[in-house]
Amino acid sequence: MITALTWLGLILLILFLLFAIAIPVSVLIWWAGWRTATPQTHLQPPDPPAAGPFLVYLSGVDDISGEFSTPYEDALLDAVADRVPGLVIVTDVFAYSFANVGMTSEGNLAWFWAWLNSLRLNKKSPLRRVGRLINLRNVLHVAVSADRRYGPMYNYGVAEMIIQALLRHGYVLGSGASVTLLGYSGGGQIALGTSGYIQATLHAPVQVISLGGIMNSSDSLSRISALIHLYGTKDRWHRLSDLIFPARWPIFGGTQWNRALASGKIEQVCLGPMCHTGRGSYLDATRYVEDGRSYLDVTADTIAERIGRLMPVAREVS
Amino acid sequence: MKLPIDWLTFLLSPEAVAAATLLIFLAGLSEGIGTQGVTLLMSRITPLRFVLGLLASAMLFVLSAVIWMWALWLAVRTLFNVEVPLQLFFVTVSAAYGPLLLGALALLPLMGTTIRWGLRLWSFGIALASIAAITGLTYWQAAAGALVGTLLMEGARWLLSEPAEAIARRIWAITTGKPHLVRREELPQVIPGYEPVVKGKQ
Repeated sequence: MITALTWLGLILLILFLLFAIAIPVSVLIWWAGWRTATPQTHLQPPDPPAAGPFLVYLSGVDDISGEFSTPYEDALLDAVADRVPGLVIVTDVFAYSFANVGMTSEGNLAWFWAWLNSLRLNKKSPLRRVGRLINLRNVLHVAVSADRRYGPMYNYGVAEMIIQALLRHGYVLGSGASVTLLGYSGGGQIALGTSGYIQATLHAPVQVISLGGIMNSSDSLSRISALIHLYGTKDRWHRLSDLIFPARWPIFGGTQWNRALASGKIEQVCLGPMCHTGRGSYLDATRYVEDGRSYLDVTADTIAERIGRLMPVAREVS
Repeated sequence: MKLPIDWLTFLLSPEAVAAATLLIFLAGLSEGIGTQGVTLLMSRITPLRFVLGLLASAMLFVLSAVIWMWALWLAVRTLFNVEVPLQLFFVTVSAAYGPLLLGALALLPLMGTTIRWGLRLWSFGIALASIAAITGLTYWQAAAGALVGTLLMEGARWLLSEPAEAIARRIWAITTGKPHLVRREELPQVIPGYEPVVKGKQ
């Protein structure tokens, strides 16, 4: 029995290692031009030109495609839209694919991801936890984005997909309209990693808002207007970044992260007693802080206020 | 250490040398995939040139391993007056390259670099153990021999650095078809096709 379990463990470990290596290899192969990325086709015509500001939302690691979203995320984005007049919200970017291909459209594995997604959405299924493999796959993409060897190429690819999405939603090249990238959890890393390319390409003010984000230091920090990291006191996940990314350790004062922190470009804002996900999280509309606002309202207020701060800068540029 | 006569006969056979060389070559190939492979693909070369680049890097790895082991053997012989046939020394110490067969694991995102250093430490540990086993030296003596051997090799490399670099550049250019490797800093920062149109410029 022990031998069988050992073999099973070994096989699973080998499968994991192969899968983990396949992700950066696929990025490198695409970059080398051996394989062309096949972006998801968007049949609907582009939106009419808009003045903005623009908000691009990059979901956490439980996302499966640009179209998938939870009601909680929708509620947050609606609340932000209510607070910022003219805000254009872009949600159809899948942060965990350099070609913006959703997992359920992903070649030979599409059926597998669709099956896992149906498992995790079925609350009665005993195999519900197996659905966490979706998170694991996306965590590996976050790791690729954060890795100094692969990040520049992966982030370049996703940045192009974000720019294409902005154009679909009415962004006018050269308008100088401000762009805010809002990344939740692992989406924070993708938002930060891609932001430098977006700023350098669009020549517009770009800022990143991280919602409990997990982020490595990034060259993007030298280009963007600001990085606002929102966190809750009960969110243990966001603290992970301080441990696993040496470039964020205080002893390495010369890193982009520590220089940006010292110069005030990184702003860390405590929202209250929120946790990372689920009940009591940043998206919870049923729990309240002392002044009577729901957790969701606190989050939406802060995001809207930070988007508002970047808008005057955008007008000066345009 | 006394080895069984059959085992000793095997270690001194041409087959053992061939097996040791193959092991080092495969380790070099795996290491090359884990490290050089990223640089090659970043430089956007063709699949054929990628394979050629990896093979060239594996062959250079074998050459460097042979020189290192020869330097080790020389150091151990000179410092501690140990008489071991070079072939036996080579075959035994080549076991140190075993862990580097997993060198391709360096491709793992974020963890890869740490794994690579772990494998190198593991490999160094095996090198010390095999030197100690074949020569009868203590681990400290083996470590001193390894240190002097490595310094010898590095000294020779420094003396020959200019011609060696020129050869390495030439091999790179022939196998990859690119004048030099692309560094991370040289990767594009602007995505072409989306820049704002500046009035007055075509």
